[in-house]
Amino acid sequence: VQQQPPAPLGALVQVAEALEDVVRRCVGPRGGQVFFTKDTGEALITREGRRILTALQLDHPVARALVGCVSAHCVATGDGAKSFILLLAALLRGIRATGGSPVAGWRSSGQTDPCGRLEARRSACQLLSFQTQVLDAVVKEHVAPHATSLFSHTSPAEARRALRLLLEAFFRGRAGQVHCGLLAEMACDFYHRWNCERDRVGTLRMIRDHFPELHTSVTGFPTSKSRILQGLVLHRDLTVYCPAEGPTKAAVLHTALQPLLTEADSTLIISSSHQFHGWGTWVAGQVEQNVASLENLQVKLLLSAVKQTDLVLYHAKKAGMSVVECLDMEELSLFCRLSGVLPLTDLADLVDNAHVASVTFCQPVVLGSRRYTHVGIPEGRDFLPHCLVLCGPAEGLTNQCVSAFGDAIRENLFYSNTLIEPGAVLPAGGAFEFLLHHYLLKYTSRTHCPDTQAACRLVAEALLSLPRQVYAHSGTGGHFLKVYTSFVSRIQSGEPARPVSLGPEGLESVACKYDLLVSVLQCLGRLLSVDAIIHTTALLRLYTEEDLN
Amino acid sequence: MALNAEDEEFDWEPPSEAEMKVIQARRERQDKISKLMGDYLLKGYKMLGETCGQCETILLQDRQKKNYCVACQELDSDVDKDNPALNAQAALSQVRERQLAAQDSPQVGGASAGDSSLSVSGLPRPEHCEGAASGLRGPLLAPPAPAAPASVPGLTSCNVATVPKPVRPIQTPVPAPAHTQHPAVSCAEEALLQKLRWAAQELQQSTAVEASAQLCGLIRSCAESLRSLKELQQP
Repeated sequence: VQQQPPAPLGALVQVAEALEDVVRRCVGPRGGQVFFTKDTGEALITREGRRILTALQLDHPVARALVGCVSAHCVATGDGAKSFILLLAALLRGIRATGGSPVAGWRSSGQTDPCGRLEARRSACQLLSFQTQVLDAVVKEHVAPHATSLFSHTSPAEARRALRLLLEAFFRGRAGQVHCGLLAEMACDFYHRWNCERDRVGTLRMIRDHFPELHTSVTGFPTSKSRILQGLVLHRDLTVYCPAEGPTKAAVLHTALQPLLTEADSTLIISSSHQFHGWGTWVAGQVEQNVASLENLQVKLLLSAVKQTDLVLYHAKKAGMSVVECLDMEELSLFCRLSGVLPLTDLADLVDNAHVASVTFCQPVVLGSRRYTHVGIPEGRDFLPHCLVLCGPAEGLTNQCVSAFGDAIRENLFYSNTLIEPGAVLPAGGAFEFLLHHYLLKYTSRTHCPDTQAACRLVAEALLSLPRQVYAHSGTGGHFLKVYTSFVSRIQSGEPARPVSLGPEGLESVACKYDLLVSVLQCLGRLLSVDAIIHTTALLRLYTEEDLN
Repeated sequence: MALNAEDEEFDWEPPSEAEMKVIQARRERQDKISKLMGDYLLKGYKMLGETCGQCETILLQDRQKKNYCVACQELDSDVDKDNPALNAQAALSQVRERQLAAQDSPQVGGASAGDSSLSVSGLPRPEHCEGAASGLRGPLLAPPAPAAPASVPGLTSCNVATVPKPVRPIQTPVPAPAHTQHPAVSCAEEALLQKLRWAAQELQQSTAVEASAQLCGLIRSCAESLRSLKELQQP
């Protein structure tokens, strides 16, 4: 195990800038995509920041720590990997430019001086305290009032339009210019079809948690073939299909209907063939009885988590029941939740009606090259379930679509934090950055502490790097300056209540933007306060609390 | 904090133009390095945890496990400029530096006036190597023909004796062009030589560093002008 001193500020900046250069090519609505190929022939086309960063080969400890931070942030919020890196690189450059500390004045670059670590650590602490003391207040008091709320529109058409703009801006960044309109429209549709308005938080949470089960990804079709289906698609084919008209009843089974003669790890001793035949007859009788009980409850669809035996299937077919086997536990739990029933774990409960769900229809559906089961679920108390079919020409693109969709729901509609209410939006294209920049600079004139002033300036300058990058791709050089100056003049002419609109129309969520900034500041603090880097050759095993006790 | 208090005592001055140029060049170099590194990362190179011994850039490793430093192998080093073994200008500036150190006190005498004008006109800084080189060449190439000045403005009587002397070393063995000279050009040459002489004089007597530097600058520009006049004359 060898130990080495932590990386100097210069190395941190170099790593951040290299990653920034990689990620910069894909930023903004006109950014490009990266095409990865593996030696196995697998290809991946993506413009998702997290995918790109995790696909790079990085052995540098700082780079790996950075990518880890980015991944953790993306898992929590759903987006922002590229912006994370851009902001971090801009902040590091700002710190380096002021000679290692936001406070000290000009000093010749002492990258290898022994006090460099102390300075860097001090900067980290300063930035963190700046965030809690100053930044929170500035955002809450000055930036938040400029935002409009998605959910407070009076007319449903207005609300729908606002949601559409928000999602369009999001998809434009994630899936590119071509498909953003279609995906945004679908997402809007999806949201409205679920009738989320009655219990928005609960429904959105459910959609977010069960999104893997609520969508089906189909490769080999153009993205325009994506659509929304009512009800739920179960990702298994029907083993036994007996077409039934109209609404039917379904039961969810967690056990096999055929009783087992023995359990695992026990031995069965057969003393005579007569005994064996007796057992066989008893088992067959049990199966018939079980299926008959189900028939009495008018169950016509069996959704089973385990594989049922041929005898069961035979009797089910005889009784006119459709059977789906080997379903995922998550899918079954979602089904139970949507239809409000409990799964059957004990065969003694077969007489109870509480375990029987009603479904509006059940039929096989062909999606791509597979056949699945499509069940219709009647309208629940707070929602009407729907599911998505997302298509894409290649696997990578489909996955990109899918993750963009999931993240859209997670980030835009659901996400909130303590400062900013959910659904607070600002126009896309840099409004948040411009506003915060403006108010931070104003704050520097009001405060007297040089530390705070320096930190304000540092963060304000770094914030502008994001819109600068977005507009850099737009073709007309100087577009950024035009937008920025028009914005500043509008703000200074005192229009606080009206939302500022600049550039292409679209909205973005304020909570997410602010949390991104906070995450970046915390990651920066962590990177700057590393004391030593220890190289190990063996794989680290992470001990948990239970292991140690 | 104690560190903080110390910092505030420094007088912060904005960096001078030369320093700004250096900063700008360094920043551009860093940008180029980052861009190259980003390109290589996307090509499948691995970013290692080690830095290059010479330039402290992070090393990359390709598929064949060969280490690669983007700065050393693709960009020109910004330190090689000052290495006399690699750069002629740097070598020249070192020579000038040594000469300057050897001639501490300016010696009185015509020959030395000419010599001193040659030796101090090259200042030991890389940016001015070009000037040093041209300064070295300038007076040698100056045409000796219109050497004798009719009137020497600004020279005191005690220095009259030194006037014809500087002309002699200047008249050393450079092929004198036997071309007809345009009167304007010869006028210009005359004036330049006069100024050169006067500046050399002043330099001998000057005691202030700033003034000496300015006089050296004047001598250098006179020499350059003489050279361009010379080029003008050659068809």
